[in-house]
Amino acid sequence: MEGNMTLTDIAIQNLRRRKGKTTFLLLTFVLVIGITVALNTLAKSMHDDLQKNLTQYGANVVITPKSEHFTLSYGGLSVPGVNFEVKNLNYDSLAKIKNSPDLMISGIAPKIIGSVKGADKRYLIIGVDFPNELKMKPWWQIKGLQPGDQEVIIGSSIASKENLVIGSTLELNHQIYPIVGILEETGGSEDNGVFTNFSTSRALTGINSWSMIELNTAQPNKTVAYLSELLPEAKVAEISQLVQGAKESVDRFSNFSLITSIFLGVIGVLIVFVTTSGNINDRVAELGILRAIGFRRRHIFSILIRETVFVSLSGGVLGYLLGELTPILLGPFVFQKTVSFQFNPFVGLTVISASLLIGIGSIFLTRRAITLDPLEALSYI
Amino acid sequence: MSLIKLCEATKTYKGGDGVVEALKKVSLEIVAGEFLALMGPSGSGKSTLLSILGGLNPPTSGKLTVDNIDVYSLEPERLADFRHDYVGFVFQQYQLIPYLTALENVMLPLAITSRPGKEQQEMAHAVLEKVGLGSKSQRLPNQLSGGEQNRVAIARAIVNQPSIMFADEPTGSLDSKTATELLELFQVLNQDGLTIIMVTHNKENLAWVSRAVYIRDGILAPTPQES
Repeated sequence: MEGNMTLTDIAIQNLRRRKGKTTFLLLTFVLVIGITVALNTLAKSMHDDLQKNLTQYGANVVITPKSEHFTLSYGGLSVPGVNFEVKNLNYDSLAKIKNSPDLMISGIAPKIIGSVKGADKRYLIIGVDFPNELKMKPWWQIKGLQPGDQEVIIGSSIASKENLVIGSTLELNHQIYPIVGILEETGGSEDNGVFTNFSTSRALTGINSWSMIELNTAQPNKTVAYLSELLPEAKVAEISQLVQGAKESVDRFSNFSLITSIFLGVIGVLIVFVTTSGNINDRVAELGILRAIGFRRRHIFSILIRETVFVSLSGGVLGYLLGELTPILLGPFVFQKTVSFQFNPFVGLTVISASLLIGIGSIFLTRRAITLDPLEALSYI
Repeated sequence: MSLIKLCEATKTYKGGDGVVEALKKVSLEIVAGEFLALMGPSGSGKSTLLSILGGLNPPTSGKLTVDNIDVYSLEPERLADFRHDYVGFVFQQYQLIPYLTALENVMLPLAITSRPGKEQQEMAHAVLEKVGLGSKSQRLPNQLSGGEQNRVAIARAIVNQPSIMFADEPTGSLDSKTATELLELFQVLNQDGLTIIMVTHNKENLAWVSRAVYIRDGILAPTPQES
């Protein structure tokens, strides 16, 4: 080397000289951090998938007013009829739900539901906010337009039974409402419904409160428990059991990841501490020479810190990259799922900082070697 | 005027057989520019005396002053600075750092100075030339002979231009030709103004020194005592 000689040069030369031990230490950092990040990435990816599924499956929590009298049915649930004395789900309940912390609600769709007399039969009127409703139920396909004031769209079953098409009219409460769209068959109760916006449904049914609020949340259990207390006038029920099993699996995997990460972390710390301690104790005589020729303790400490920072920082960065890339590369083969790259600065910073802390912590364990008297250190020769 | 003044230095060690007195009230004065030999049989205390004089080993009692500095009253880090600024060591087994080249080993004492890299290199090259190893500066210690390693150790000891160089049995493991070359080098360095204190048990080395001090059972003696 034709350069100047600095403490950094001494540290780098030592690491180069002790290739085997340096590589072992580096690999320890890379593997422990890599596996920890990979498990975390997989757990997060599975959780994200679950979130997507929850959204795809629609609402998983339904809020209705408390009542013992039922006349109508929608979405598999009985809905209080307008002609019965029931408790109200006031409009401000929506704000209360929206302001609730940490419920991880990804969709919220209130409804006004009632029955209205038609020309020769009663119709199920469902007032919804279409943008929110369609976000929660992406499988709803509307032929035509979304209804504005004094307009309706009808379910496919009504359309076919009564030969109604877009442009036809429907008599409700002795008034004529143009049909601007038809909701294509869903196989559910929507096929027999007449959909309007809130103001029209309110005018038609005379209901001045929510008949139902559907929620999509990643934490249905927690949400049900919380909202039951928040809204004593409401009955809060969990649906979408379909994804419950998957959620339990994801939760189990997350727990497994956490336990494995902690276990690996402890093993990694022990390996790093023992290896670093061994490395430094092997060099006591060398450190004694440096002390004898005038190196201060802080110079020695500085050399060791540089060595450790170099290894632990490299190990942390490489481990993080390995942990992020492994699920992407192996996901399709091992887990039958595609994992997209998610740069997570918080996770990156956390694992790299932890790596550095472990490395620097290991130096303090070998403090005796640094503070050793030079003559005593030379006696190790 | 004395460069080094040791007053009634005693050094005791706790051993398995109780307290061992390695030095017993030893007083010694060394003037600048001396080439002093510390002689005595094995276990006489000469290496202990050398380490005390070099700021490596505080005496149990007594006082060492170097250039009017009360050496062992210094804080540990200041004591390290003293060794760096005033003293160069040539250890018995050379003690080169194995993963550094000859040049890098010589540059080591300069690593904790503020000298720029170019100046560090020039100084290290200059002393390597002086000890006759200019062409082997890029070799690792294990690629050098014992005599060459010894010369690298000397170069490392003097690169920082200290006032005093301590050498512990520098010729002990060398053949007579290499030992003579080494002592010639010591003489050249001494003539350049370097104060040299050398531990040796070889009487032939006395021809090269300006003064010899004899030590036996931890006590200085004016003349060698034949056993």
